[in-house]
Amino acid sequence: MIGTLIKAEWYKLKHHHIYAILIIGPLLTLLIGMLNPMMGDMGAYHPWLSLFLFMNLPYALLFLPLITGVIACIICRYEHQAGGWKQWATLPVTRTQIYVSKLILIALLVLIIQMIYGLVIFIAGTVKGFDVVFPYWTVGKFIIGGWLATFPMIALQLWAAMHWRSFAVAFTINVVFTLPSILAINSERFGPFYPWAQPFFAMYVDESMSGMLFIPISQMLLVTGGSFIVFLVLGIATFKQKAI
Amino acid sequence: MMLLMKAELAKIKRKGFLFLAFLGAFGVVAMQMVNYGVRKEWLMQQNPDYWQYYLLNIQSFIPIAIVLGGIILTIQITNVEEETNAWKQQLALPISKKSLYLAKFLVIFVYLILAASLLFLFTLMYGIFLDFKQPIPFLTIVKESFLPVLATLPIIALQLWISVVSKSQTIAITIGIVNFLLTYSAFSFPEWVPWRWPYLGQPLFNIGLGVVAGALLLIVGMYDFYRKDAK
Amino acid sequence: MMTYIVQTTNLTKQFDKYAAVTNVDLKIKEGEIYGFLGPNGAGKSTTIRMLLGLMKPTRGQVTIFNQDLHKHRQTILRQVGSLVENPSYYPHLTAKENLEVLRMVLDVPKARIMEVLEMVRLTHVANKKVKGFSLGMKQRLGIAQALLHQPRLLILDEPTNGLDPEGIIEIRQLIKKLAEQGITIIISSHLLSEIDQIATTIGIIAKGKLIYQDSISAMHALAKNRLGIRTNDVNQTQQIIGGEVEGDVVYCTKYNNRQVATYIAQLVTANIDVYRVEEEKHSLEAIFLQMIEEAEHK
Repeated sequence: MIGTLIKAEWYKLKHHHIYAILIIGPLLTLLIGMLNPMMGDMGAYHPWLSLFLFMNLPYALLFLPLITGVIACIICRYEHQAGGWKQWATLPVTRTQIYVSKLILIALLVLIIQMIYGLVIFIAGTVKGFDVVFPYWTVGKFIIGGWLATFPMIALQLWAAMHWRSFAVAFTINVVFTLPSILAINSERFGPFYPWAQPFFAMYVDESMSGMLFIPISQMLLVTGGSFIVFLVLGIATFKQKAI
Repeated sequence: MMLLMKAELAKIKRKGFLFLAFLGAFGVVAMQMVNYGVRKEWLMQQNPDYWQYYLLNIQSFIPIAIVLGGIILTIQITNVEEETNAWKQQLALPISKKSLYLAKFLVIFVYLILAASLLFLFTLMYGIFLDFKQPIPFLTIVKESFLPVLATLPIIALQLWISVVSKSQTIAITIGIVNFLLTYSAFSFPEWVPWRWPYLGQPLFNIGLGVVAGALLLIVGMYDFYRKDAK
Repeated sequence: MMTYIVQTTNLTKQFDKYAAVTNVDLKIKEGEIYGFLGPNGAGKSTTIRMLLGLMKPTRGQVTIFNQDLHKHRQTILRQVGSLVENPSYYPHLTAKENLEVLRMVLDVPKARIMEVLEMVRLTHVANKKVKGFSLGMKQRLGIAQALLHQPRLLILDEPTNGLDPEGIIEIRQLIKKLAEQGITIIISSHLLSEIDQIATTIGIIAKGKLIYQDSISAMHALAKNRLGIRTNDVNQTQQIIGGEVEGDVVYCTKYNNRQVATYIAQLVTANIDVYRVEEEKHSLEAIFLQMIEEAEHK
C-alpha cells in the first residue's frame, strides 16, 4: 500500500518544477566552493578533499536542512489548496500510511539531491583535471551519512508543513533551528548533540574516521535517530488528530 | 500612501510580524549570549578592545539575519492575498497597483528598521551585562544596527518582486535560500558582488549602491507587478 | 430484524462547549436515496464528516455495512464514494490526472477514468488543468472522483451547490440512474425542493438534532390540506358542518367533492351568506419550516 501511495504522491508532483529545486543546491554550492579564494591556497593538498571542505560547509550546514523544509512544503501545498487532505483522508488508507508515504517521498527527493551533489562534484573535479583518483568511498560515505542525518529535519518539517498552510511559518521554524548550527559546529561539547548540525558532521571529511560514516554510529543513532523518532511520533499523532 | 500602509498593517495583524522582528534581533544577540556564555574567557583574550570584538561577533550574523527576515516578511506580506485569493479584490479597489506594491515594500522596511532598533537595544543591553569595563561605543552600535539594512535593500526588493509575481511561494523561498547561501558565503566573492554589501566592508560604497540598486529593483518590480494581470 | 446499510446510534459531536450534533440516530436502508435536510449550520456536514471518519465522534457509534466504522474504516471506505462540501482537487493537474492519482490508490482499471468522466460529461475537458474549471465543472469532477471505484454507498454533501439549473437537472438524473443500479445514496441539502424531487427517505436535522426521519411519502401525508369556509356567521356554520374555528373561518379536514357540495347547500338553506370556500394547501415547505422552528424554540 505504501508503495502505491508513494507512486501517487510522485504523480501529484507532475507539472511542478521540482527538478530545478533538486539541482539548484549542488550547483550553487559548487559555485561557492570553486570561487572560494582559499581554494587556490590549498597548494598540494588533496584537490578533492579541499573541494569537499569548501563545498560541504554551506551545503551540509545550511542548504540541506533548509531544502528539506521547502520540499516538505511543496509536498503539502497542493493538499492545502483545494481540500486535498479531505479527499485523501476518505480513501481506504490509514492516516499513518498517508503521512509515512509523504515522508518517504521527501527522503527520496533528498537522496536524489545528494546523488546530484556527488555527480556535480565528480564532473567539476574531472573537468578541472584533478590529478588524483575520485575518492568514491569517501563521497559515498558522506552522501549516505548526510542523507540519513536529514531525517529528523524531514520529519519536523513535514509536521510543520502539514499543520500550517503558510510556508512562512514552516520556513521560520526551519531557520530558527538551522542557524544555531553555525555556532554549534564550533563547540566540541554541544555540536555532536545538536540534530541540525548532524548533516554537517556526517559530511565533514575526516580521514581518521575509518567507520561506516564520518560520525560515530552511536551519535547517529542517539541524536539523529532519537530526534527523528520524536518528530515522527509528533507528526503522526497530530495528523491523526487533525480534524479535516 | 499612509492610508495604504495602514491598510497593509491591518492585514498583517496576527501574522507574527512583530514577533519576527523581535526574533531576528534577539536571535542575533542570543547567538552571542551562547557564544560568550560558553567561552567568555577565551573570547576576551582575542582582542583587547572588548566592545569592538563583541560587536564584530554580533556583526557576523547581522547580514544573514536581515536576508532571512526579509525573505520571510516578503513572503508573509504577499501571502495575505495569496491565501484568501484577495488579489482580485484588492486590485478591484480604486487604488493604484503601484502604490499597493510600494506600500508593501515600505511596511517591510518599517519592520526591518524596527528590528534594527531592537537589535541596537539588545546589543547594548547584553554588552552592558557582559561588563567589559570599557567605554560604550554608542555610535558604532547605532551604525552596526541600522546601516546593514540599507545595504540589503536590493535583496529585499528582489525577494518582494519574486514573491509577488511568482505563482508559487516555493519559488520565492527557494530563491530566498539561494540569496541566503550567497550572503553566508559572500567572502568567496569579490567586493562588488551585492551579497557582500551587507557586511559593510566599504560602508559608503555599500550603502550608496544598496540604496540605488534597491530603489531600481523596487521600481522594476513595481512595473512588472503593474503590467501583470491579477492572479 | 431490519438491517440498515448506514446506522448511527447516539452520534454526538461536541466542539468545546458547543454541541454541533446531538444523539443522531440515522437509519438508512440499502438502495435508498436518503435526503439529509437541514438549514445551514444544522450539523449536516459534521454528521457526514463523522460518517466518513474525517472527524471522530465525541460519543456514539457509526455502523456502515453492519461493521463498526471505527474498527473497519478501511474496508468500509473501499466501498464508499464521497463528495464533502467543496470539491477536492489538485489545481495543477488535469481532470484525468486528478482521477489517475485516486485510481492508483483505489486500484481500479484505467478505463474507469474515462467512464466516470463520461458519466459527469467532462470528457471534453479531460486534459485541461482543473484550476481553470468553473465551479460546476469542479463539482462534477468531485462526483466523478466519488464514483471512480464503483462504491456501494455514495455520500454527496450539497452536490448541487454552485451548479446552474441545467447542471442541477443533470446531476439529479445521474443520481436517479445510480440509484437504479442499486447504489445507496445519501444526499444532503438545505433546500427541501431539492430533496423532495429525488429522495425516497428523508432525515431532517436542526440544531444538531435529528427531528424527523421517515419515507418521503410519509412526509407528504403530513402535508394535509384543509377546507376553509368563510361566512357571515361563524358559530352557526360550525354547528352545521363541524370542524374548527380560526378567526372568522371554519376549517374542516375531512371532505370530498360530494361533501363540499352538501355543506354549501346546507349553509345556503340555513340562510347563511357564504363568502368564500377555499382549499388551503399545507405545503411540505410549511411543514418543514414549522419543524425547524419548533426545534429551534425547544
